[in-house]
Amino acid sequence: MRNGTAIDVKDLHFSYPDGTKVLTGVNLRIHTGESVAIVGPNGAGKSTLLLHFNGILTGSGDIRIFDMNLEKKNMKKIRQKVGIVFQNPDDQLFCPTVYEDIAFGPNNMQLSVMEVDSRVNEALTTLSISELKDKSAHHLSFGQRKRVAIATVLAMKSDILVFDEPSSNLDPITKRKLVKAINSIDATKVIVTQDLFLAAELCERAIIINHGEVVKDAKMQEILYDAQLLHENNLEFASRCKICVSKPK
Amino acid sequence: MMEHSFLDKYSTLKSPIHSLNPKSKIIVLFLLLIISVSTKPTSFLAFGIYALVVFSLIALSKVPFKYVIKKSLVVIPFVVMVAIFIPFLKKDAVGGGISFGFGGADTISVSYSGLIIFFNILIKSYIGVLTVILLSSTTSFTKLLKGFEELKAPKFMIMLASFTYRYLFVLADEVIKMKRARDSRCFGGKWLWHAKTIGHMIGSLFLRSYERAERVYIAMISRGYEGEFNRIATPSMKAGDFAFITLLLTILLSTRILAA
Repeated sequence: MRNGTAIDVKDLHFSYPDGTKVLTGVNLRIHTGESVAIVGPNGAGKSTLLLHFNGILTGSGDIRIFDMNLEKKNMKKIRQKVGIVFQNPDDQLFCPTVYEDIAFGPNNMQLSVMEVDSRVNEALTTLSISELKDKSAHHLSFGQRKRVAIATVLAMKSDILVFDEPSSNLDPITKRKLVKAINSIDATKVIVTQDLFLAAELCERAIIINHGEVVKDAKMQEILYDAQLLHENNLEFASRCKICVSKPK
Repeated sequence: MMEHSFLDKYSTLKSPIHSLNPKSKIIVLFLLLIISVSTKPTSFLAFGIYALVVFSLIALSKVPFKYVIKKSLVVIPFVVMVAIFIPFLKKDAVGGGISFGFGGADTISVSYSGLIIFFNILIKSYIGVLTVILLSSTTSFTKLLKGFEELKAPKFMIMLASFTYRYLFVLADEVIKMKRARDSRCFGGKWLWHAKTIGHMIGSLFLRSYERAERVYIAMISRGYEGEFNRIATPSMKAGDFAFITLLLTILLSTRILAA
């Protein structure tokens, strides 16, 4: 199904109730099976855009998920198609045990007990966290909670997975493991991040968003080596620290 | 995660009491409460038997006695505060009373029926507290919730308790973080100034919780939540559970009936 359209956003505008304009005409298209990074500085509107993908926020403009318009009657289906992994796992893990948290989504899909159980176990295995099954989320480390949060969405077998800042607060090795885990998932993936290293590891295409609109939509490499473009958008890729820039004599 | 705090300490021990189905424990201990509360205040032997039952269950559960006693003593001051004046207020004075030497009206005396009421309040609340400690230290919170849910407790209450349990620690962590941030920048000062800071902290904690609630809700509806909390079934009751219920209820009920 590659090259079909998974997410199609046309002229999306959104402002918060106090009048702050966050999105001012976003246009983008994400194809089925693609991994796309949405990058941009703080306050660019990335997270606001992300909350539009499953209709949590509704601005003016057209959004289509596969062949469905984003509107009330399609909402249930769309929320099964689009899984969002939120930035803070504490917001996403609200059940007494890890198992129940992962089963929460599949349960809401009215699946049989057997099917729910097999999906939970599958997700646990994919992220290699089976041993955490009966633990309570507040007894886990941040990295573990992050993986459980991904498992909760993975168990829903959504066709589109959206990650909001998946690498924030993770140490480098945990980040590597996360990259591996995300790469092993077969779905259309949207990674919302400021971490270009992560974006480069996961995506072949990147969309830069700034001041509520798309600044650049191109291949990853093209964006990574355009220092001027990155600088204009408060982004950074190559290590710019003194010790890396200065050559040893 | 900054602090490992457990409300249900010792709930992961292995003992015959721990391995019972939470439902059977809830049923028995709830009935124990009702039976004990409805027992006549003067049936001292009956209370002795109830206490014996609870203590033998605690012994079986391997939960340290020291821990149980320490926890149970937390409640006693409150009970005493409420009940301490009752023996002095009743009319049928005994024991001659204590006179302050002015004769007549200023005699303070203790009444027999007042003492009985005082004992009644004390023993019943103590047995109640012991029962609750026994239940909570032999059953993990998750299992306890499931037990209550399967016994058809209102779903809404279960959800509320489950969220409270989950976010209590998150909030406690937030308080600790705020406290550290405050202490790192605050060197002494007048208590009035401190009060103001604490006020700000409470306010911001409230706002943070409110915002968190919103984010949690977003995460819930993103995963298809529509107001129905489906949970996983627990194992059904085994022969041991029925034996436990029958044995305990026989002892307790016969004590109660004989004491009447």
